[in-house]
Amino acid sequence: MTSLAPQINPFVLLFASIFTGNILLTNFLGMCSFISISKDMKSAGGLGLAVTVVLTITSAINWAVMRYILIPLDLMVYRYIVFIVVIAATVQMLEMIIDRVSPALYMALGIFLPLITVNCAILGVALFMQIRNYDFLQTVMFGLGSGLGWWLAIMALAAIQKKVSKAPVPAGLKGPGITLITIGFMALGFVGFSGMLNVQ
Amino acid sequence: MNKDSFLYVVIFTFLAAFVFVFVISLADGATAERVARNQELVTAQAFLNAVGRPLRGADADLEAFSALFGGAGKKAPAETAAETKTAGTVFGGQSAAGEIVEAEIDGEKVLVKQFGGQGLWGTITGVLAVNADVTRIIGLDIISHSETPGLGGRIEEDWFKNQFRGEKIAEKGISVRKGEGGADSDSENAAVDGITGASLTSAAMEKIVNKEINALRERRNKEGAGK
Amino acid sequence: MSDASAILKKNLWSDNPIFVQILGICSTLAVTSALSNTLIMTAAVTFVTALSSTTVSLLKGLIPRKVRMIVQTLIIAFYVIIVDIVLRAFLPDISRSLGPYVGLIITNCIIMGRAEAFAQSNPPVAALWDGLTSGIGYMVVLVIIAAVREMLGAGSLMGYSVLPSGFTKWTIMVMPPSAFFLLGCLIWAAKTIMMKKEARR
Repeated sequence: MTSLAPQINPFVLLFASIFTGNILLTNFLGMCSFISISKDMKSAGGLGLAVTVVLTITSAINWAVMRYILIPLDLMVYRYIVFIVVIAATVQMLEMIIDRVSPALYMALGIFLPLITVNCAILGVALFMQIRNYDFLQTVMFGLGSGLGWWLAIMALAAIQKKVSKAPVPAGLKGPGITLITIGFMALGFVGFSGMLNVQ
Repeated sequence: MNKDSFLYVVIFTFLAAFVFVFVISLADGATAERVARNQELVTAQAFLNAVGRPLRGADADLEAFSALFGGAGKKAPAETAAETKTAGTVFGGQSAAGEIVEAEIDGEKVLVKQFGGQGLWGTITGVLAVNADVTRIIGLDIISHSETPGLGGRIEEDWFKNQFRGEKIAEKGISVRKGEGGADSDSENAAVDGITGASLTSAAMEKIVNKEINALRERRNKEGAGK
Repeated sequence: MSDASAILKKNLWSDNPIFVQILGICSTLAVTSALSNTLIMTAAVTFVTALSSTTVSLLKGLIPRKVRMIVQTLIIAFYVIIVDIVLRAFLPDISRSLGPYVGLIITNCIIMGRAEAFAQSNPPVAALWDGLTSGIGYMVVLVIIAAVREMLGAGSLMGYSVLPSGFTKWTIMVMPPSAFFLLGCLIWAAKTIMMKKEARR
């Protein structure tokens, strides 16, 4: 736990987590809400925005909690509990704040917030940043990038689903089956981004 | 007592949390020693793998490791006697990079170095062993990495690591090619095949290995000048 | 007894958490490129589902409604940490290759789903059985995927070579997209069989 953060440019990390290492398409995180919500563009966009906001904020808070509380007090063995409690509390707070500040935004985001606590991508980012020893800026960029990548993936899938729903698909493949195969092709496409970046 | 009263909620949550935390700390304390030993073993086995020693189970491996790379005053078995540095202290933790260790494997002098370099997602650590004049790689093993499973994560698979075994080192070091992702069996071309769909991790591996080769060459040159 | 077998049949087939509910694939699909990792991972999920269901059922009269979700999460996180500690101490290789995915069992929707849908309102023994069978239903599907991926992608099973050395490995099977394709096809097959049975009735 004491070793130094890897020498990775935070902005490379941002782009890598949106495209080449999309958290949904290469790490399979955040699938549950993904499949059930990806049916129309509007709610997909709302959920994507909510995930991005929560991911960025919680990754920063979790980093600080880990760095200044868990590591000094040697409490790393409880990190799973602490991370999930931080995420749940942040989501609750956000819900309250948004409700007070902007009722319009609450109408758009509010219903998605509770779904997010159990979104594996959020806890996933916290665990990845811990295991990879990221520093603060790297963590925030990784959180933001993962959120944007998830958002991009769910919007793209919702758009494809719209066409697929009108296509003549074998009865047994309808619904989740064709959705998963569509995601597979998207994932294959995203692998192609792999040559886009250059780690310096 | 009313189950929804504030007091009950607080007491219940507190008690539940207390019990869980207590049991976890017991379990953690009971296994701490084993976990530390496992960590040592991982490093030891990576060293043995890199120099091409067979693994023979936990105890034998730890013993062989200290015999080969730093027997802290212990008399090593005859065939694997010579060593110059105590590796145990240098390689105790997951430190990013280590010193160069000399060891004698089957009568041949080899240079071994633990390395740490930057992959796509995080630090890749491992062990690289080369022959005394740094013209051939003896072997390479990965200790830890955080690359994507199924893509960059495949650097820890045997087919990838085994490509390095006995590979000739060219003037410019080793190149990791964008190939079909099959294992390159030619050990004279100073090149290994990269991983399909993970060109960034492959490029990172190339950089890490060449950096270590340069460090090892420097050491060889210094020693040559001293004699 | 008929109750128990009804639960078994429901969780393994007609209400299988993956085929029918598409739940909980997040954390495990990533490790299906090797069979041994998948076996340990799904065993861990089964263990956590069974025991957290039992615990929730045992405590159901005591848990205050207001903090129900958070207490359930605590219980799940507790068992996951125990699994993590045990893996780190006794199966270090597997623990290393699973990495952060063990911790992600906490957010596996199946576990919370079983606690909410079944354990809340049933006696402990039934909850244990329900959790266990749900976990096994989950395990079977993922083990099939892992077996296909490892066999075609690496030519081996559990790390032992099973295919002749002349076999050309399918690199795509090791890469993440194949998991989506295989799962999609499995669901297709399962749904087709279910629909045929339905039609016969």
